[in-house]
Amino acid sequence: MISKQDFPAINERPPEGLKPDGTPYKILVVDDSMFVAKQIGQILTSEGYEVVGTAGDGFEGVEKYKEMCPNVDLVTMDITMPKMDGITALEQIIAFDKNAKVVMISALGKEELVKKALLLGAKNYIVKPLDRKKVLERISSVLGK
Amino acid sequence: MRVEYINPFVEAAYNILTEVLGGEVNRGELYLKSTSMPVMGVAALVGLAGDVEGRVIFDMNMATAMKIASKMNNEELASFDDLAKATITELANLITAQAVTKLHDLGFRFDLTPPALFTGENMEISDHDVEALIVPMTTDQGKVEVNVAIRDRM
Amino acid sequence: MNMSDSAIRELNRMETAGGENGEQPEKIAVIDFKMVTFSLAGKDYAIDIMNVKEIAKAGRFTYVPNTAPFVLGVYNLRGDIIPIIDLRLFFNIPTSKREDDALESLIFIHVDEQTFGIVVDEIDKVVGISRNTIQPPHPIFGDINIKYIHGVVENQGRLYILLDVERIFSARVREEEAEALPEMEVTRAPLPDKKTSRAELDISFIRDGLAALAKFHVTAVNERWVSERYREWRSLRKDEDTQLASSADAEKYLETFFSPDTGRLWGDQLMDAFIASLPDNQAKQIHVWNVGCGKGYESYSLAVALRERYPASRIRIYANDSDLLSISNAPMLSVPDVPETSRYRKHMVQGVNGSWAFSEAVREMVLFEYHDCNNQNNVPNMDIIVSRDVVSFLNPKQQMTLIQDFSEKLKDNGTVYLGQNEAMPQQSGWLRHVNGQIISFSKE
Repeated sequence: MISKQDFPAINERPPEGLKPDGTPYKILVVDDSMFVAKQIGQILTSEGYEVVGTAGDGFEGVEKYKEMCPNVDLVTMDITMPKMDGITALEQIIAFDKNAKVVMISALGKEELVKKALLLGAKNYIVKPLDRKKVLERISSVLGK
Repeated sequence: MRVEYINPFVEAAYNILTEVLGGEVNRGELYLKSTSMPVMGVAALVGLAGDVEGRVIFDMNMATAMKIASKMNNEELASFDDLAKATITELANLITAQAVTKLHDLGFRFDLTPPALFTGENMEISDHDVEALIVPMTTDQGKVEVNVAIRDRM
Repeated sequence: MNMSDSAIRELNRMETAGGENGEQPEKIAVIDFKMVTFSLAGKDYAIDIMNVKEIAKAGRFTYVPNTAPFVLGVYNLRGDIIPIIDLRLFFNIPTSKREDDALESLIFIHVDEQTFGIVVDEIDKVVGISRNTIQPPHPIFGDINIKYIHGVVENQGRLYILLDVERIFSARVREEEAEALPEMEVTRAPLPDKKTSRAELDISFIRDGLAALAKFHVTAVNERWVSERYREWRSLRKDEDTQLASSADAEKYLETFFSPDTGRLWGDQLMDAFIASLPDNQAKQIHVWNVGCGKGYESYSLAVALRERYPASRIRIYANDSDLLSISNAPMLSVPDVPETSRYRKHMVQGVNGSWAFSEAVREMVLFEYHDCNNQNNVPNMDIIVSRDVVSFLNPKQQMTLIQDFSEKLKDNGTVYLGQNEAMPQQSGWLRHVNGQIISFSKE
């Protein structure tokens, strides 16, 4: 007789957002849109990640990174923001911490821009509208799992 | 408006609206309009810069804005609060950014500025002497008009 | 065959004969009133053509809440929001239920500076009648309130109820305000009286017909051609029904109006003549404005002509048209075949499917824009303006404004080319130049 225990428990795989030691990866979300921040936050927390902070513009983003380092595992960075844009903020964060893991999340998908961000040190680039699966895959790969 | 600029905006509007709203999207006939345009109640404005100057306005009435914001957030929003506003603003940003990306691929150096949102009854956006291309889009949540005014930097 | 002047004089004499001798003139049916006829719930109605702006077939009106039931909604007519009224509902005439998607027949009428669209059962034709056959309304003739009826008239066995649209649509009677702009010289139809010749009346009705049916507005710009064409037209129609009753009629009248090589790459004759008419210009950059470029044939012809005439200069052509479909394909314009001997050949490249398109170098010369020249024109100052057969299709006020724009945008030593049968109004600051078959204009 086949019983429930014989089937692989699909729902029991560990949430991607947890480190091997069981603590969540800490993410800093930098985006001027309340909606996008909420969207990214929902996707991340649903997989166990912890959003340790949000910033509404590049300047605040750099400040917060500097404050919270090394308690930030990854930064999601929007490009089009007031005060200081995401590319400039990326530069400053990398200058501060060359091992910073920054993933660009933008509605702009210009090839030049993507190359520029990656050359400046961004680990990956996601084009909006956000696809839950894609976001999780890319973030996961950047965190080196 | 330069012929080559038209399709990217039309396509971006169709693609994004279809993707984020999930339902049926129909495009109405395009036409040109000049000077001030009555606004339906909610207008998101994105500035354009680079090889051109201008702006894109996404115009809709309040009921449509609420329905769209609710749909994008996957929950019924009760009022046009900060979250709803941020959602409509993001929609404007997504469409404009995709158009700008397509134009970039065609060799046109466009950039966009962070969007702004306007609400109110009987608003009129008076673009002094600017001709705009109107792209009417009908969605399950109501009508959205994409209003594009672009001028090449001579 | 042109009617001789003496024959026209004879006609006029016959018409006024009675009056001269003091006798009662014979009641010759002089057509001095035109109306657009249509049917509504089985009856024939008519509206003075002077009130009719245009006719169309359309569906899908945008419903507007809180309006009377006879207001079906609004219709977007090229950007203007027009209220659409169902006369059947307005007059409480019982009608069968309308299908939602059916195309309705619409007459756009203009009253007191406001445009309205009215839905009717079927639009018939333009009928010319004699004013003195209009009879005052009698309640028995209509299902509708007598105050909305101007009168009734019989024509060719049918009885038409002539509506007074001004009463129907005007909330109140307004004084006409004087126009601030100097008026484009439009010689308005004179009030019909015995002295007005048939020819003059005819032409004034043809004007109305051209405007309503083909959006062609007769002004000082094209008046001369319209009159000359009238003589031909009259003999074409064997002097009988010279009236323009339908769009087809109007189009036939306009058949000889259009400039040579419209809608195709300019042939050698036109190219050579045009090139010969271009003045010397040593400038490094030459700016050209091509208004109403349509599918692009004209713009590319200009590009090649200018390249030949001004080999050392950088040419920039700003081409625009308000027909989206035409201009969308203009940048990529291609032709199936280009003979080896054609002057265009060296400027074109053959694509994979065998058709020929213009080379990068030529395409770079032209900037195509979807643009309505009645809106603000943001072009730099121009050396040459080419606007063939465009001005005539604008209303008189728009014609005035566009020509004014030409004057402002044109460099002092610049040249304007209008259509073959168009001309700048006399004594309006323009000098006329004749170079063989080509006429051009420059500023005084």
